[in-house]
Amino acid sequence: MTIRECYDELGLDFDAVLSRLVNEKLVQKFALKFLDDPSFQNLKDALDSKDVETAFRAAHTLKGVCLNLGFDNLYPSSKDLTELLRAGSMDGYEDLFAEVEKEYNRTCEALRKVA
Amino acid sequence: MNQSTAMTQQESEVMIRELSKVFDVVRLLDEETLETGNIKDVTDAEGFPCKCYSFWKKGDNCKNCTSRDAFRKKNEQLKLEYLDSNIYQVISKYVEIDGKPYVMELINQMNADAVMDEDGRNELIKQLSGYNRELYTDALTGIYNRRYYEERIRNSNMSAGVAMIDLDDFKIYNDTFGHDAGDLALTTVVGIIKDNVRRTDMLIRMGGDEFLLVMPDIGEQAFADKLNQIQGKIHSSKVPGYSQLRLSVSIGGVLSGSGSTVEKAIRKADQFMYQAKTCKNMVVTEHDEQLKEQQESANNNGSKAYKYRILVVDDSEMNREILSEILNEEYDIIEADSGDTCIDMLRKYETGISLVLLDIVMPGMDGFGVLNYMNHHHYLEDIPVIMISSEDSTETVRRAYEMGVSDYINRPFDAGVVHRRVYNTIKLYAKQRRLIALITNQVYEKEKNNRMMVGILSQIVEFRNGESGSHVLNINIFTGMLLESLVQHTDKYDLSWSERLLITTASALHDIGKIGIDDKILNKPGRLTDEEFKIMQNHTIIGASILENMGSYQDEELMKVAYQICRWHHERYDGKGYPDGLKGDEIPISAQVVSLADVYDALVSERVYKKAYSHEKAIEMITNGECGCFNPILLECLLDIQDRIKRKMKTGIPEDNPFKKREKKAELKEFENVKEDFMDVVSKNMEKEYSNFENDEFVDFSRGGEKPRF
Repeated sequence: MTIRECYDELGLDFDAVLSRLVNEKLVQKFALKFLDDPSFQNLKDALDSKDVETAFRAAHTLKGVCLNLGFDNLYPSSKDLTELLRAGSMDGYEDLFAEVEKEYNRTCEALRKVA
Repeated sequence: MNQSTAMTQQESEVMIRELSKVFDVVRLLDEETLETGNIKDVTDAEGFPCKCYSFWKKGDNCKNCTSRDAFRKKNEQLKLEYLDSNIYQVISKYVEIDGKPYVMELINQMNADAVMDEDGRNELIKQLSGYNRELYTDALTGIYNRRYYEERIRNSNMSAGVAMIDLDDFKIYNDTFGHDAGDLALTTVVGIIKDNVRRTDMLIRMGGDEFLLVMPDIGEQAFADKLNQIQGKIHSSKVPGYSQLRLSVSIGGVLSGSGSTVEKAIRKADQFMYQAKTCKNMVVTEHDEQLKEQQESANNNGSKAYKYRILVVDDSEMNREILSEILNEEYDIIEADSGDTCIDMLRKYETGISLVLLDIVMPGMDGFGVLNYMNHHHYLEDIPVIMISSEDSTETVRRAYEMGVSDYINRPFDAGVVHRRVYNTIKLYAKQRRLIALITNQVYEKEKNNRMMVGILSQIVEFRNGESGSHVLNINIFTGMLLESLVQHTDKYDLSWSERLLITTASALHDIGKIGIDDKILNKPGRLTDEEFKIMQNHTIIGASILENMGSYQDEELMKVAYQICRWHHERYDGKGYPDGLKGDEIPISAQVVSLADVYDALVSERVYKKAYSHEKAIEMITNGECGCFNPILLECLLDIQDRIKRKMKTGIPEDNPFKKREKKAELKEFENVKEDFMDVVSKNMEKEYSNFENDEFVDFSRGGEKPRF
C-alpha cells in the first residue's frame, strides 16, 4: 500500500498534507515515524496513574502531531481530551480516551500496511 | 597610375558592364555629385534629384566618404559600410574617362556569415560603431549596461561561465554614507573585477548593485577559482575615503553549455547568488553544490561552517525531526528536548545560534519560561525566537508576541511557510547586527574626531601657557575616574553615561579663557601683582563668554557643560573660590569634579615655580583642605580611587624626602592658622601656578585671597 492509499483508507486528505510537507516521500517518512512516537503510550500511562499534568502534555503533543500529519480522524478526540486535561480535570476522560485509542489503533493499523 | 585610370567612354561602359556581374552596384560619380551629393539626371520616386548617399538611406553624405577622398587623392580606396545588419564592401576607384575625372564606386553586400562568424561580426560592429558603444555602456562604471545584456547576451548560446555578483549591504551604504559613497563602492568593485578577468570576458551591470560576469570558454575549476579570487580581492579592498565601508560580494556561478541560453544560466546563477547571500561575502557555484552533496552523503552530520545554526526546542522527537528535515538543507540544526536543555544550549552557543524555534508546552521549563529567561538575560535582543505551537488561542499568541517572539507559527504548518519565515527572520537579524556594527563604528569615529578637536584646542591653550600638554590629558583621565567613582557613591547627581562622557570631554576646555590673557602675565616668571592676579582670574569669565558666543552651538549640551567648567572650575565648596563665590552644590558638579582633577594634577606636576609633589603628598594636601574646600563626597571618591590614580600617574614623580615634607607641612599649618582670616577668596591653585616659588618645595595652596603672599 502506498502512503496515499493509506490516507485514503483512513478517509484523510492526503493532498492537504502533501502540500505542506514538500513531497510524498517525506510525508511517508514522518507518517511511519508516528508508529514509534511515544505520545500515545505516555498519555495512556499518565492517565492510568492519574497524572493529569503529564497526561495533558502527552495529549497536547499527540494533538500537534495529528495536525502536522493530517490525521484528522485522531485530531478531534485528542484535542478534546487535551482541553479537558488542561483544565486539570479527569472527569469523564474515559469516553474521550476510548475514542482516542480507537482512532489511534485504526491509524497505526493502516500505517503498518504501508510498504 | 594614369595607365590604369585613364580610359575612354566606351572602355568605361564595357568595364561597368563586366563589373556589374560581380558587384551589386557599380556607379560613376563625378566631382559635382561628390561635392553636392546630387546624381545628375536621376530622380527618385518623388521626383527629387537622387543623392549619391540615398543608396545608403542616409540623409547626408557619409562622414567617411571614401569616394570623395579617392577623387581628391586620385587613388583607390576600400571601406565597409554597415546598414540594416548588413555589411557592404565599397571600393572607390579614381578613373579618368575621356580625360574627365570620376570615381567609380563598386558596392557589394557581403555575406556576413561567410565573411566572419557572428561573434567576430558583433565585435566588428561594436568596434566600427561608436554609437553602440555609448548605447551599451553604463554611465557610472563604464562597463556594459543592461541593454547590452538584453540585446546581445540574453539569448545567445555560448559555452561560458556565468556569474551573478551582488554587492552586500549596498543599500545600507548608500543610505548611511550617501550616494557618493555608494557610487564609489560600485566603481571600486567594478575596477577589481575588471582587473581580475580576461579581456574577452564581459562584465555587465544588470541593475543597482548587481553585476553579470560572462566568461566564455572557461573550465569549471578555473571559473570557480576566478570567482573566489574576485570575492577575496573585493573583501580585502577599501573604498577610497570611506575606510569604514567593508566591501563584500555574494556570487553565484554556473557553467552554461553552448546548447542553452545565457538567460537560463543566469536564473540558476541567481539562485546560487541568493544562497551565498544568506551568509554574504561568499561564492556558491555548481561545483560547490556538487561537492557539498558528495560530502553530505559521505558524512551526514556534516555541518557547514557557513550555515546559520537553528536551535529546535520541542519535547516531541517527531516534531523536532519534521522541522529538522524541512530546514537541514540550508541550516545547521541543533535540537533541545526541553526548556532546560534549551537554556544550556543558549549558554553554550550564545549568538552562535541564529534562531530558536520554540514549542510552548514542554515538561519542566515550558516555552514561556524559556522566553522569560531569554528576556532576563538579554538573549532575545540578539537571538530571534519563532514560536511553533498548536496552541492557537489569541491569548497565547498575544502573550508570545508580548514576550518578544519574532513570529508565531501554528500547527499544522506548511514547510514552505516555515522556510520563508525562518529565512526572513534570520536575514533581518543578520542585517541588524551588521548595521549595529556599522553605526557603532561611525559613532566611535565621530566621537574620536570630537575629542581630537577639543584636544587640539586645549593643546593650543596649554602651549601658550607654557605647560605640558599632558595636563589636559591627565585632567581628562582623572575627571573620568572621579565621575565613575561618584556615580558609585551616590545617585544624588544622577549622571548618565553620556553626561559623564560630556563632562570628561569638556574638561579639556577648562582653561581656554587663558587665550584672552596677556602673554606677559600668563608667562610671567615671577610672582603676579595683585592687579595681574585679578586679570589672571578673569580667564574663567573669558572662557565662559567665548562659549556663550558660540551662536548656533550654544544650546549644545557640550557647550553648556563646557561653560560650567570654564566659569566655575575655580569655585570652592565653601564659597571662597572665584569668580562668583558659588557655594556647595550651587557649583555645577561638572565644575566641582574638574576643579578637583585640576588641583590634583597641578600638585603632582612640575611647574617652573615648583617641583612635582608625590601622589601621597598631593592627596594629603587636598584632603587637608590646603587647596581649598571640596565637596566631601568628591573627596571620598578621590580617596577611594587613589590607588588607581597613582597607577595612572606613572610619570616618574620624584619621591620627596618624607622628613622634609612633614616639616614643610607643619610650617604650612602654622602659617595657615595665623592667616586664616586673610586667606579666603581665591583658589590657591591659581596663585600657585602663577607665583614663582623658586626652589622652595613648600607651596601654600591653602592660602586663598586675592593678595599673594609675601
